[in-house]
Amino acid sequence: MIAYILRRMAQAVLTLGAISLVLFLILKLYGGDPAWIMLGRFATPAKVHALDQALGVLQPWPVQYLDWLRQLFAGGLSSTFAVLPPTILYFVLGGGLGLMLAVLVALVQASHPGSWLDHLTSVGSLVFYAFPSFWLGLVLFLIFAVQLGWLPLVAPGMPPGGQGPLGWTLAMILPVLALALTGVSTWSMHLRAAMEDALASDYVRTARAKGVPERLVLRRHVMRQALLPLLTMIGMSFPVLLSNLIVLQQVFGLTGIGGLLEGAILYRLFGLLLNTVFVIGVITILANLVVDLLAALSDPRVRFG
Amino acid sequence: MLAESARETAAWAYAAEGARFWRRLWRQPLFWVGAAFLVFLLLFAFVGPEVWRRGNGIDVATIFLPPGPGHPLGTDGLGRDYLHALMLGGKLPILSGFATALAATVLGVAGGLAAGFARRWEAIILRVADAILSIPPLVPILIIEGFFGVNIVTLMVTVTLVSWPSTARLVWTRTLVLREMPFIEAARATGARESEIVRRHLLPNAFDTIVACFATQFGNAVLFIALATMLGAGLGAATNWATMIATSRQNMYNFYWWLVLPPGIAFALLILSVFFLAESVRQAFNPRALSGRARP
Repeated sequence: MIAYILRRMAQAVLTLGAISLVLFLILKLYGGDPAWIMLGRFATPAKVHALDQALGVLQPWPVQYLDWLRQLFAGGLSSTFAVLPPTILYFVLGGGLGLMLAVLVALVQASHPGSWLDHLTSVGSLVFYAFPSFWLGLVLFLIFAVQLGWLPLVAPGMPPGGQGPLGWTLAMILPVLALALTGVSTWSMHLRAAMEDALASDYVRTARAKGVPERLVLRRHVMRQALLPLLTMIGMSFPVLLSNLIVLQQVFGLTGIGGLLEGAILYRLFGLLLNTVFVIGVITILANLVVDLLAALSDPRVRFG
Repeated sequence: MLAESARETAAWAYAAEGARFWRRLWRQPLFWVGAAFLVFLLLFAFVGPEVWRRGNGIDVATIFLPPGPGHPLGTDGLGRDYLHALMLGGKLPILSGFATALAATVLGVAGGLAAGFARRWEAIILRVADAILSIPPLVPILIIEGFFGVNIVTLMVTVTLVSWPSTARLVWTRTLVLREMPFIEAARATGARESEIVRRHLLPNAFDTIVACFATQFGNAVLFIALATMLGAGLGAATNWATMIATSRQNMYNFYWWLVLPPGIAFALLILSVFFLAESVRQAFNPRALSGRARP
């Protein structure tokens, strides 16, 4: 177990290093001459050279790489860190809600195959899968906020400000729901398959033959069996969920990493862009690490396989 | 054990039988639904603008009209007929989605087959695939767009590069199962070359996986390109469904539902049509003998 943990952590560090290297190379190869960009109209070869010298971009690349790493820890990530808590909040809430809904849907479908409920949820799932995620969010906003007025038109303040606790909660509903819906269809499909596998297994048949109430069969056997596929699925959906969150942040005008990325691209702030991308990479790898460790904890086959 | 594998072999041979497959396909209602949707959309996008000639007249007097006489889908912010815009806007998503999905499927199938069949490439292909899969798909797109500027071709290439690994993994697992099957061994015993084995035995029997992969890739590609366009990193100023959703977002505080609903429904129709077609192909392909049901 310890060996597995250490191995995975070493892998994570290596991957992070590789990512930072790739990002740095992209910056150097395609970022253009920073002095040239900064001076704009006022650029002359002499001034460009002087500014480059002052910025430190004329040094050998390995030195610049180390400098870049150093600035990451010396405050280059301050804006990213400021934006991180709201992003994580939406991510956890939206992902969590989506997961709960998916588990619910999958349970219903697996335990009542072929029923009208099964068909209804399948069709609903398909519908949510085919519509663009950002469009769904927009439509929900139009219906519930603009037309019906049940939910606030403004985004929730981060940190929570003048809206009051009720207003803030109401404002959170739409973005979280929109993010949750993006994942439900794929997740419920995977979970349903895993649950059906579990339901067809021998020990479930034995449990039923023993007279164990169906409720317990589902809870004790099916859900536990579905745990490992669930964790793997979460790990694999992480990147897509983050992408959906970024777009939804733009649609709803939420504070978050999406806005930061957008601004960095719009204003050609390559340094900010790469730092933000690096942080996204770090988060993704950390999340994968946590998911893998949880999987190893729950299933011995993972540790020794 | 031998009887089981013989049955499986017979079932696979049955599945690949040409004429029977097509007949099973025609019988699937799902096939016709999907085909109808797709044909409708293709006609809508490519023939529609010729038929519905409500021009691109920018008429400020008629901006933001809800659906009514003369404008079945209302007008947009510049007074142009929205139905016409919807028709014009279909070509880009359909073509770019199809091209990207095709490229990603071809790449993914090639990678998956190579990884499953040729031992020495397995490790590296899987490593690369996993690495790509761990990146949030939007990030490379944003980086590329930030550095190289907005461009349809770079967008399609990037989406292809980001999407092929999932197909590769699926094809890889399928190849792992297939290569153990007796008919492969038999083919080798009769002296078939490796390339021939792949072409004549592996590919046809992985057909349903490949078709399913294409459908998923199509959905992903279309939605992905739309996503990137929403963020300004995509298809640019030309009329297309995604830009129409993006511009409708600019008026999101007004209840201009006729601007928001049609493009989204169009997207869904497109993705669902391909999905239904692929699903019906998969079901027609599946050897019914394996599931124990009577041969249709």
